[in-house]
Amino acid sequence: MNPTNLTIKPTMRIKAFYLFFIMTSIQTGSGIMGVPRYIYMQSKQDAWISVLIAGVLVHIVLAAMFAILNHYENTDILGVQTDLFGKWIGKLLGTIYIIYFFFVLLSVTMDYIQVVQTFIFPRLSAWVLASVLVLLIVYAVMSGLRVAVGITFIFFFLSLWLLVFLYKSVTYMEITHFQPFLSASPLELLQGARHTSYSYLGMEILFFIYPFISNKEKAKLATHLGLGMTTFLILLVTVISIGYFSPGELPEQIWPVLVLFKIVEYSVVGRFDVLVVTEWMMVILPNMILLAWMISHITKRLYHVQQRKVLMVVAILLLIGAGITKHEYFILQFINGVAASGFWIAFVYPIILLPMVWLKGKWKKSKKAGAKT
Amino acid sequence: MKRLILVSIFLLLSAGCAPAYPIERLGIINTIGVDSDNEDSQALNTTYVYFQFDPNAKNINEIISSKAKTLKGAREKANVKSNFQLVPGKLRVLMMGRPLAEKGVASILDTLVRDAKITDTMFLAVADQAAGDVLHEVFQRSTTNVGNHLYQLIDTNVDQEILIRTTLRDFMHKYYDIGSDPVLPLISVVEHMPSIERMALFRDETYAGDISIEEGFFIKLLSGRYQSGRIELSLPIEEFENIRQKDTDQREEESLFLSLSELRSHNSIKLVSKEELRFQSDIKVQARLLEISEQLELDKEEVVKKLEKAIEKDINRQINQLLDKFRELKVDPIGFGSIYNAKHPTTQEEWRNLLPEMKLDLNLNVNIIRQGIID
Repeated sequence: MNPTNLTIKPTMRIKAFYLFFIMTSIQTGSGIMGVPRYIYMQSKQDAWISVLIAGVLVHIVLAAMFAILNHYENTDILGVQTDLFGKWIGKLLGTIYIIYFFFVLLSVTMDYIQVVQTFIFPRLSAWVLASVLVLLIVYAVMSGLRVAVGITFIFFFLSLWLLVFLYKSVTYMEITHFQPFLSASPLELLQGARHTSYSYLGMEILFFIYPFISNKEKAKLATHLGLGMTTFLILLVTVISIGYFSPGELPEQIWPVLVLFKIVEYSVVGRFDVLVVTEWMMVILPNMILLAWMISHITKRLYHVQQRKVLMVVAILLLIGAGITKHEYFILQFINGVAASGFWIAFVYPIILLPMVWLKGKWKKSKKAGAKT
Repeated sequence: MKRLILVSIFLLLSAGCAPAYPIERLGIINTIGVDSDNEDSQALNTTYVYFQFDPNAKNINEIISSKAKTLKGAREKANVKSNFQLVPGKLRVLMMGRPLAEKGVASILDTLVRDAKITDTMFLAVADQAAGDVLHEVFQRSTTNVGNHLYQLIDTNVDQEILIRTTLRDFMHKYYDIGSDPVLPLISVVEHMPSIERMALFRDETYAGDISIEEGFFIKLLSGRYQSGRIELSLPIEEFENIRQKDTDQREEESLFLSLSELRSHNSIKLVSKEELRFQSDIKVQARLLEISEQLELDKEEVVKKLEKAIEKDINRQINQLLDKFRELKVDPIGFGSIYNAKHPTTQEEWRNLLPEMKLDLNLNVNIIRQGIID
């Protein structure tokens, strides 16, 4: 048996077209609520340049991921790792992915619960919110990848309209906040770019979902466009936040993007921000569903455990993890930790992996050539 | 399908876990008045005007006062006095007493900004005495609904561009911006009714002085744009001696009064010289002449031109007077500092020291486009 290549039943496959929505949805979630602040703390009014730099770098990482995957016939990262490092190290690296994805999932859940408690229901217990979210995740993932992707597709459009309501904060923007241009040093710009990493996390999903794509020749375009969409969204909220908030205000906001909606007011909806926080569930839910799907899928691939059983364990751990955390500083630290490890796993690792894949390919070829003569 | 039903039932039931807020039991705070206490300098006297939805109550408005060290603490204490649960979600106006404003308001406003329940679009105002006294007097002596009245008083005047918009967000924004100071309406009680008589200037977070509403007009003329403003001017009459139609009016007056309305303005300020601290402002004003106290031949171009020149001269004089006042008080409500800061990054203190040396070249262009239906 060749463990490297996977054969996926035609009924399980998905079209490359959906990669656009998968990419945008898994990246845009809890990170984007606060990202302008973190970039701004590094590169000040030039934060938007940092976003552009990060955007370019992330596209390079994505190209590297495609190069790795296209080196093989039809595999995911687990197959690649087994092929490169052997069975046991491959398993170990796969397990790291499982733990990492679980922590990302947990951080998203905790962050959203924190937001709901701050903006709407201060007295509502985290357990209730966590169990509602966990239930929805389990329900969606149990129905399989195609349902998860379908939800992603629908929720993308159901939450896209929120962007329209940023118009009010755009009218409050001040050009002087962007001046003087280019006052941040290149190092500060790069550090700002690094702080976008939590918002770009999730693009590793390509490593796992790639074997499921039926028309692979179109996958590149859709994925890069999806990534471009994420960059556009981060750029948009960063530019508006810089213009809207004073230099002293922005570093103090935990969720600047939600605060941007606080200025929107209608006679029918007096407090639009409450609506936005509620609606934000549609932004984070696809995110969480895809993460949970990945965890259960990897575990099944590595340890041949039933996906349903894995999901139950994940659900219980997630419920406990999100239920018992209460302190804001802990959540912020936790997110920072996830962001830091995510930076290495999601962005640096593929870049390191690529030359290894190439070398291995060359070595194989020369061995074959040697065997023939 | 069975799974779907189970999930739906669970979701429906879990909605019951969220705390309910029956509106009959809520006191929805509409206006807060905050004052510093006379005896204990750290305590805050807080007055709440709130709505109650009790069908038996005569008055839907209720007023309550309490004293505590923090705003939140004051609300807890007020809650004990009230048979309603006081909630701040629809807070519209925060009025601060002048003694408190003189001490600084940042710590109070900071707690409001921190609270996600409080809207950024609520108005701030300063009372020319203790804010609690203003609210109590209006509440007791007048039949009007004090909370709503105050809000609408500010809101309509902002809408008509008589006042500068002074929401919580605007105040905090100007407060945090380098080289820009907030302005708030100053509310006094005239015949038991609240009235915006003047405007309070702030130096950072502290009350620094006040100007008239008419002077407030020029702040917006210099820092923003008018869509439909209005202004009343009095020009020296000597300038119009020869073009005045004496035969139609026998009154002897010293000044020529006129009022401009539907005033549209556009303005751009830039820093011309860093060393001299010289700014240049190009203001274009288009307005309709609605009222004039003398009969002038307004169908003649040279008369209109002359009038425009005289108006420009007068506005120029008034702006310079106002700027002198700002230099003296070391306040910058127009935001020259933020223009300076955009070119040459500075700090609030540095700018504060530079402020008195600041100069402004004003290029004012007034254009009267229409008069009434009679020449």
